Amino acid sequence: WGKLLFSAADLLVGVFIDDILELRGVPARTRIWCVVAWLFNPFTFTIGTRGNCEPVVCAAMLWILICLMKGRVLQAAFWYGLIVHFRIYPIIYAIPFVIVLGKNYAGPAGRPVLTQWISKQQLQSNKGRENVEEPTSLLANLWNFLSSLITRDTILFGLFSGSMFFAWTGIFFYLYGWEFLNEALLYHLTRTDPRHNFSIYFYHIYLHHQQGFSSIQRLASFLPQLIVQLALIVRFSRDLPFCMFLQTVAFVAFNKVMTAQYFVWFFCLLPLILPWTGMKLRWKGLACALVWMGSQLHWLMWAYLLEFKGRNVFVQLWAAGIVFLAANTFVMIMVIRHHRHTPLFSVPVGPGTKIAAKKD
Amino acid sequence: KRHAAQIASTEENPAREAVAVRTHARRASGYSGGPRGRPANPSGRASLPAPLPLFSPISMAVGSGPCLLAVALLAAAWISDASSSDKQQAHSNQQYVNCMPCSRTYVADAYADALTSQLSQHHDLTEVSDTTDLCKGLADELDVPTLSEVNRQLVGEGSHRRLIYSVKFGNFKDAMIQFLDGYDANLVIIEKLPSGVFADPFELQHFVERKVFLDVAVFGDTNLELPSALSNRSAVEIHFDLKTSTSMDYNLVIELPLHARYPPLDASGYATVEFGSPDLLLRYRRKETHPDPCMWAFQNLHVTPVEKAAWRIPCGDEAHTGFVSSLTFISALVEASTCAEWIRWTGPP
Repeated sequence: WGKLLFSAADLLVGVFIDDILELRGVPARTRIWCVVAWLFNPFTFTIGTRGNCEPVVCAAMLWILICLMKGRVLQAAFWYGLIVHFRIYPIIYAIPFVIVLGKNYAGPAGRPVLTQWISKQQLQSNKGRENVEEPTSLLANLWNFLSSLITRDTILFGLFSGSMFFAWTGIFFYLYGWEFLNEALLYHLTRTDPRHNFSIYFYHIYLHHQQGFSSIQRLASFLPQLIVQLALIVRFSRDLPFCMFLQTVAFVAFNKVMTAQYFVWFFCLLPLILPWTGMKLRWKGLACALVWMGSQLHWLMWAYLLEFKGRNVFVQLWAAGIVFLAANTFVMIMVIRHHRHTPLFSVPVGPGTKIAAKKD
Repeated sequence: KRHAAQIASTEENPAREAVAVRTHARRASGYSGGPRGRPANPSGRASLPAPLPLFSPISMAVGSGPCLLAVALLAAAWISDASSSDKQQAHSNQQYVNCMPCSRTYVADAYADALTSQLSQHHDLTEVSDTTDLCKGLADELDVPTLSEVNRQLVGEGSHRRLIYSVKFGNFKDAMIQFLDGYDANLVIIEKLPSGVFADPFELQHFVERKVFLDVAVFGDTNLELPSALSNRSAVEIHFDLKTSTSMDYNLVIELPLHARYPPLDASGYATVEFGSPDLLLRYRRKETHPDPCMWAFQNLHVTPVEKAAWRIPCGDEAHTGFVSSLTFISALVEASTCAEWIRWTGPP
């Protein structure tokens, strides 16, 4: 029955995608294509039917997004604490969430105002009157930025989700003891997966598995990950779905272990940014998809030779992993270049507020 | 001869000696009250008590304690066994039988602890059964099936292969039918897997669910992910119901799917893993509804050693470490910086 549950979660994700896009004013025709991009994506529906719990995580993440969009901070915090307990990776969204919940979160009515989608034609004509926010730069207004983070909403969110996380961890620790703690959390600190996977680190780990790893090596593998995550957060937090999507792609690509089920994590966020991309399916969109899938197939070919034909192709397989990482980087850059940066929450238009927003 | 080989190998390892000594001692104590009419106990060690006092003072005199005593006991056992082995072969109904209570489902679980250390291939499995009772009536003149031929082959390519056993019984068909009418009989195959190969317990459970095997168990390390250098050995025990073999003319073909772990690094690029000899036993008991007490009798099906099976698995080369590690980290940093640069310089117009 697990597979039924996950397939149901898969469909639920489709429903949530539709909800989110509707809240942002995307017309029905565009919405349908976006939902189709999730429901008919061969990478994703096979994961749920295979018995992997990832669709449940995706559904939870989208629900958290919906809660934030509707101003239900406590509910968002509740689910966020639970989902981080369930799967560690959503912790990467913690900082963007806090940033978004900062100063300009709630409008005058107490509920956030969502920036509505506008088609490209409208964008051209509205250029002068648009209240588009620039991405925050780290150097300027650092103090302003930090102080804007301390609001009632952010503190509430942080405290509540943090306590949820510790509460759930506490419950399971009480039920299962140290075994639970080791398997669920501490395992991630010391795990080494020498078996071949998409990550570029697998061969390095296999070559060193008999000697152990120095702390320098461990830190060195976290560094690229950290650089990209920070760069993304600093630049794109306000456009929350876009930031989450890119963060997930980068997290998966630079991780020490990468398997196909992790792709679902960003595929559920992809439909949320499609209405804002300037990239057409022909030919740039198709090129991205083909480059990504092509490099994956290339890797899979070498993996097949290694595992099912017993040929020693470790070096070739490792090189294919590096090519796949380059492909991921390419896709990320293409997506960034063609995206119309639009913050999720907008400050209500008014003479006084306009100036304040620009300063931010 | 099997005992001799076993004793020779155990002299190197005190731990193994301890196991062997325990079993020998047990047998010695158990056979003092054996049933009449039998020329000797199944292992033929009626003469064991006599030489013992001669050896023990000598070992004590030498003074290295339990080790030498064990050696002495084993030597005594070997001598007495060698003298009676002829007798053993002379009596055709001198079956080498051991019994186990029905509550013990598996034979090899007694080895579960020993498997985590280096295990030799020479242990005689049936010795570990704790027989105090000699399965009265089970081992008398009985035409227990014997094997005429056993073949074992490793089939397949890559990291997932199958070990195929082809087992032929030597009895005439009528004799087999008669035997199977009166007795429940299982073929028990115990394959001690070499380091570097493992069996997936979940996969094997499917075989049981689909009634291909009667039962199957995996002992030892079943961690599916770790490489060989970080894992311990395991053993697989398969129970195959002989009743289902009637349709196959008592020629059984049994497939055991196996998987390879990542071997330790080697410059040649390939590691070869060799399989030892499997243990084949016949497990049978009378078909009565409430035999009292319920006991399985085991017959060790002595076979000529099967041909060696060898598995060639690709492995990493330590020479690659230099360029792989450096290029990995460099690429990661390059990609990360490229991303960061694009992020910095891209924004709305």
